[in-house]
Amino acid sequence: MNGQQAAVEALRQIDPEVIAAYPITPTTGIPEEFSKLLEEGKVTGELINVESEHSALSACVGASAVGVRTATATASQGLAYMTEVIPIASGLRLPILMFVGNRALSAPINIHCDHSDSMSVRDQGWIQIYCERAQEVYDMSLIGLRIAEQVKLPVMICQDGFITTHTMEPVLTEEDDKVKKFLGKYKPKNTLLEFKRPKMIGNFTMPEDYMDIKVDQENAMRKASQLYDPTVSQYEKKFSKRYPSVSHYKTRYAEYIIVTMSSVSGMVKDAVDELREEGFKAGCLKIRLYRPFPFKEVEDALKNAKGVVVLDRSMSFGSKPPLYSDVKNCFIGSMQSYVFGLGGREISKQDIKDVFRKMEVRDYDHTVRFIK
Amino acid sequence: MNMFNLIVKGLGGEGAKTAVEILAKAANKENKFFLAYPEFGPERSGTPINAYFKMDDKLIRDRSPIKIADYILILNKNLERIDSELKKGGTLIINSEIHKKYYYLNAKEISPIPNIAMLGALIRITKILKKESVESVLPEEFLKEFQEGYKMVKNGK
Repeated sequence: MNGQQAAVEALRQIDPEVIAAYPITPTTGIPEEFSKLLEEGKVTGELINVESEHSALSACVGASAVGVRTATATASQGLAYMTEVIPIASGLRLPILMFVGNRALSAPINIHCDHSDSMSVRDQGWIQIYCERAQEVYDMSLIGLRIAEQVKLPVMICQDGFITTHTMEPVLTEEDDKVKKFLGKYKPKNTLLEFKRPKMIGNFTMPEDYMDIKVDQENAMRKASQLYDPTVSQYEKKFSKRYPSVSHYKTRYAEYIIVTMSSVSGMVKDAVDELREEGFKAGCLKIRLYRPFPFKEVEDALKNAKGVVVLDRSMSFGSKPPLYSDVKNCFIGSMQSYVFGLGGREISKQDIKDVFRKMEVRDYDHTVRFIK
Repeated sequence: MNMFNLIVKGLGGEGAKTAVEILAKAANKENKFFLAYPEFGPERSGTPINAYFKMDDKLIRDRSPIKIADYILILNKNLERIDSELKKGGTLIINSEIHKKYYYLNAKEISPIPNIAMLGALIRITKILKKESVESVLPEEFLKEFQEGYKMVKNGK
């Protein structure tokens, strides 16, 4: 199956009461295939056909506030159009599950992969998980939802547009009963339709309340950090698949490490293997959990490195790219930022090996470099 | 085994994408690791596209397009400007009435859409997957095309 089908298989097992989505490339297949499941009677929820992404996420917010599981899928301009509702979902503490097929933002219009879309909302209080393969999309959506519901925060499961959403590969799925048992029944504490405990959701707040609510959100993020390891351990015990917040690849005795996310990690690992054969001590650190950011884990992984390069697939115009800035907080040694793959620009294994070799000759500066 | 890598070249509508998806389903039957993906873009019927298929006994990590392939399957003979993409000593199968250098199959005789017949030729020549595995994932109405392609492929050399 491809990355979208992996998402749909997870959705079939989760069987959310409400899905609202406005199909957009490269995640069109998610609402499309889900509607087929609905037609065949394989899921029981409701698919709300909406007129825009703004409405899609608004419908999810409404349904989630009522107290049911909800999900959506989007990408690029679709996510951009949702942006007004993004901080509302997290501010109202609604554990909505969103699949993102990472795609470049317009203009100029482009349908291919980069991370500009989800990176533009990285500070809006959503848990963000970036997946390398379709297998991870399936597993991380179950793990992500489990954490999201415990800390009452929405979660984005990001996969690379086309590179993961449209590539067929083997995916090992789990039995329905076991998945349902892992997720448990969703029982939110506060729901809108409790007539004996009437309440308002999303009220106007004055300065004496607003800031405390935001601090609560940050505390929820910290709780998500704490819950991540126990939740993945629980998942590993049940299903024998391991998903740490950061994945090490030969980093332990590495002198030079590349830090990156999502699908390109595979190619970096291949480059590491080839360099190791040449006697070059390379390593790769893949960030899986991006928000909340695993500072301690990254710091530990990098502490003995002579040099670190961060490969970003998006920009922060006028500043350093997002992943670089986060990793910079964890490492004080020599570091270099590279941006690659914008709008689907190809990157080769040779490009990655060149980047490693430049660290060896201490070729660092304070600029953002581009792999073009 | 070394990683098997294949480029399927065709015009939009000739079924290059479907061809690698069928190989993926058959590879899944044989519990192989694989990646199958086409090039995407502003694709239209009749414009050239590539589809890629990689298969191995271990996890395949590199998800980039194949630049130089061990195997190439050409669904349309007008796309025969590919020598640079074929590894030295690689295998090429072309949809053509006749060819002096490569394996060829006149798929036009079998079906107006060449992909399934050409898959038959590919499996016969390369034996990368069992014939039965591919047949088991094909819709019944396409079995005949596949089997005829399997039978009729010829060596041009």
